[in-house]
Amino acid sequence: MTVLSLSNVRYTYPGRLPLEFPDCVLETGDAAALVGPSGSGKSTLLMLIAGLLKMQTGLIEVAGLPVDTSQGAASDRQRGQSIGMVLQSFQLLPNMTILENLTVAQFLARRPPGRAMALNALSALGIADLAQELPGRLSRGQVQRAAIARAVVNRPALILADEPTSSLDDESADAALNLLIGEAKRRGAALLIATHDGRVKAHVPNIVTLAARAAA
Amino acid sequence: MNLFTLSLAGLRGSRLTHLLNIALLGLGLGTVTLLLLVSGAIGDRVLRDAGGIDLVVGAKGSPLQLVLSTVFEADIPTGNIPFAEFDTLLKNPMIDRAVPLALGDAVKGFRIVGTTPDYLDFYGAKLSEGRIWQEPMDAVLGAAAARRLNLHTGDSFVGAHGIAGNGESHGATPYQVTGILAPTGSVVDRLVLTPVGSVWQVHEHHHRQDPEAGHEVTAVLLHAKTPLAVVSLPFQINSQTSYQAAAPAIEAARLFSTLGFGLDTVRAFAGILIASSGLGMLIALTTRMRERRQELAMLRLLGATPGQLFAMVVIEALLLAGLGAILGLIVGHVAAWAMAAFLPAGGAITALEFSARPSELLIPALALGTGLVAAIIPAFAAYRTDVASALAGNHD
Repeated sequence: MTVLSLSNVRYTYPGRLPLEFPDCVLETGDAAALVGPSGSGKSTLLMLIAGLLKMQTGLIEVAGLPVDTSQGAASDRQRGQSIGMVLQSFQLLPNMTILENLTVAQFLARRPPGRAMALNALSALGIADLAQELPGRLSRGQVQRAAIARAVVNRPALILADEPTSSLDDESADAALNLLIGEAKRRGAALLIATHDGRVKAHVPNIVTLAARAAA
Repeated sequence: MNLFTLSLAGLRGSRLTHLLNIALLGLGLGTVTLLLLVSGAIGDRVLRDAGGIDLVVGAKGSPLQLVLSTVFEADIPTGNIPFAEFDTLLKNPMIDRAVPLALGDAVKGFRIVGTTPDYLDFYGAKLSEGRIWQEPMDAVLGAAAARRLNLHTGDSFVGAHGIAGNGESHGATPYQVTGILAPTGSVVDRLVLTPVGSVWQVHEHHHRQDPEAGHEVTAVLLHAKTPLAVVSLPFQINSQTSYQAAAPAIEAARLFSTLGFGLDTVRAFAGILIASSGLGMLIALTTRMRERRQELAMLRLLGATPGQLFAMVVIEALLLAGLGAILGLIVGHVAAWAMAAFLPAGGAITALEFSARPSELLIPALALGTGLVAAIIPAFAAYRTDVASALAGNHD
């Protein structure tokens, strides 16, 4: 089943040259790296896929539905239910426990409350015993695991990861990628990792390369 | 997890600032609460103390002073009138009850009032123990006076000259407690009642006068037969005698319009406290919105709608306001209780009742209004969170 498809997507910031994105398709269970230098539009593409930037030209479909920001709350619900996100530095909500970080994701995706499911996701990543801790008390590796658990708790079709390894040493980066890719595969989700980190390429078969800002 | 717990978690981020703003709001609302309680209690008190007393006849002077001193027992009397005047009033067909009042002494701040048992009918006061006063030097104590003075039926005590109770002691002429009254919630609770004859007897050595010819009382309290009589009697008395008649209802209204200015000042002060706490809340919430940009963006990533973020901030502000309202009610009631407990005995406010009043519904209304006003700007900031640019600070 096709989870993500991009066709003819272009985005232009006011007063800047247009960003052009290559067409691509991700199937269930696929993993791909979105690579390119700074300013090539990796984050912009993630925001477009998530429906947090208004589409200008082209079409993006997630789990068979076109992304349409004009749908308001419906597009917010679609994001909550079919997309899980892992970010680089700001990963968890600081004033909530690890478990609450997962249950808030269920609530905002309009999923029925599922404490057992949330605890399941945590124990799959080996951190069930940290459920009642605040993020500030966790090590970086533990925070990463919790963030991955939250990204998969709603069983999304697509997981977007934004620079998940850029501040990690080789060993930690390896471990984080293995966890992320392993968890996505186990759950049958497609995974798209935006990164400028060359180490990621070794872990995923598909590479989507964004060119440096297109010449005029 | 729901919007409410989400808001609670949002408040956890800056507890100290929020506590300070709650305290500020609590002080403002506490002041308003105290104001409501005191003005309400004074109003009730005046109504009850005025009892069924339509008019007071006493020596010429300020009518307000006459009413304060004889009905509310709160000022010094204007002077005396001959006892014979009482008999004249008794015979007036427009009057259905006339009660003489002789003031001048007190015991430890509680006024000794020489009067007839008819006085009790103005307030519906009943004995809780002992018997009514009959002979000179019999004394019946109001409930509060008996408790504070720790006197019981059969005890004796001495009065002192002057209504504050700290003048020359009348040691040679002790009173005998014959009874104690049940509480009435009115001025009677704080009085020591005795026959008019006791007051005369105690003071005989002060005034070298013929005891029978010169007998005087401070005032006569009247209940008129008809409402029309309440209006016409003062004209009759003021024009035909050298005394004056004053109506407690009119004088109390005049007193309140004078007090009104002071109450307005306190009200303005409370308004400033509430407004500044609202401003503090606005600043705290707005600053927090800037600090929480990434957190709000994260919530949007997880599927939150802009409307949910708006509602979350409004709920946060209403939670703060609600806590401020609870604190304000507690502060106001504790302050009122402290006033009642620690102000000197005999003051007009001493025995005020400070139970909850319907007008206190104003407090949560004020609090929630303040919270809503403080929430609008930060709530819109949350509503318009730009996820892409909030997360752009993340990396390249």
